[in-house]
Amino acid sequence: MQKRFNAMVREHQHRVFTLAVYMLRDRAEAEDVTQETYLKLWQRMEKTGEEVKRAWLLQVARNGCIDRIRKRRPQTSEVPEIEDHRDPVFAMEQDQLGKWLKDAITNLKEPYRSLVIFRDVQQHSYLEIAEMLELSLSQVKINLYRARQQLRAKLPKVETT
Amino acid sequence: MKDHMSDIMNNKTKMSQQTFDDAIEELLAGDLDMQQAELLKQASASDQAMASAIIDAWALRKGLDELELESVPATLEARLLAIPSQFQARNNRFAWLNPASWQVGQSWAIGSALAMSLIIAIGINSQPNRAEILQAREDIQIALAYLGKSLNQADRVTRDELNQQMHKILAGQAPPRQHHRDIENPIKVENIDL
Repeated sequence: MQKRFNAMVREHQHRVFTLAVYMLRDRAEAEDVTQETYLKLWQRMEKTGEEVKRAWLLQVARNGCIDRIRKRRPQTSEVPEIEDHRDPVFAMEQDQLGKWLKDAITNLKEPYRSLVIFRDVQQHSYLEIAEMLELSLSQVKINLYRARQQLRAKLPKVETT
Repeated sequence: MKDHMSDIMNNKTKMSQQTFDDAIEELLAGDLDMQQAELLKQASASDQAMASAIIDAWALRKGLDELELESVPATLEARLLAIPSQFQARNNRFAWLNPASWQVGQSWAIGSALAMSLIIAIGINSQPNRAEILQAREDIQIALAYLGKSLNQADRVTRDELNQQMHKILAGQAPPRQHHRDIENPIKVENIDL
C-alpha cells in the first residue's frame, strides 16, 4: 500500500500543489493544503484499501483551499490593473502576463476559478472536471466559457489597425 | 458550427454575443475546419471589433497555455513521502488502546504475563487443574488491561510490584492465595471498565 501511496505522490503532487498555489496565491499555505490532502489520502487508503482516483485527490485539495479562503478576512484588493498601454497585449512581457493571469484567476469566483485551473492550466478533460466539481458536462462548458469571458474582459484592450 | 459561421457571415450585429464568442472559442480550440476558419478570417478583416475580439481571445489562450505547473519543493515531497511511516508510528504508539492488541500483541507485557501466570500457577499448586490455569490467565489479562491504561509511570510501578511478587514466589514465599472468583463465571477482559 505504501508503494501505491508513493506513486500517487510522485504522479500527482505537482497538480495538487499547483491547484493550491493558484487558488491560495500563498506557497506556504499551498504546501499545508497539499500535505493535508495526502494525509487524507493515506487515511483513506488504510481504511478502505481501495484505489483512489486522481479526481478524488484534486477534489479534496480544492475543498481544503476553499475552506482556507473562507476563513480569510474578506479581501479588498481586486486584480491589479495593468496599464492600458498602446502595445498589443500579446507583446506584453510573458512574465508580466503570467503574473497578471495568475492573479486574475485567483480573483475569479468559484467554480470559475477551479474550472480555469483544471482546464486551462492543468489540461484535464471535461469529463474529469465534471467529476471533480460534481457538475454536468454542459455546466462545465458553460461555466468555463463564462470564466474565460471574465478573464478576457479584464485583459487590456488591443489596438488593431 | 455552421450556424455560427452563417450568423457571422450574414450579419454579426444581429448575432448573439455568445454565438460570436463560441465561434472564437472553437477557432482557438482548433475545432473549425480550414474553410470555416477562412470565412471567419474574411469576416474579421472587415470588422475591427471582431478582429479585436479574436486577438484578445488568442492572447488569453496563449497566456493560459504558457502557465506551467508549479514545481514542488523537495522538502514538501519528503514530507509527503514520510506520511505513511509517521502515521504507522503514531498508530503503534496507541496500539495498546485497541483490545485486539491485548490478545495478539507481541509486547514484552504479554510474554511476561503468560510466564507469570504459569509461575503463579506452579508456585501455588504443583499440579494446578485446567480451570485454575485458565483463571490465572484471566487474572493476568485483567492486570494487563490496567497495565496498558497506566502508561509509563504507573506502568513501572506495577511492573516492580509484579516482579517483587514473582521473586517471592520463586523464593518460596508465595503470599496466601486468595480464593479465586467463581470459576464458573470468570471475569472477562472485555467486561473490564476502563
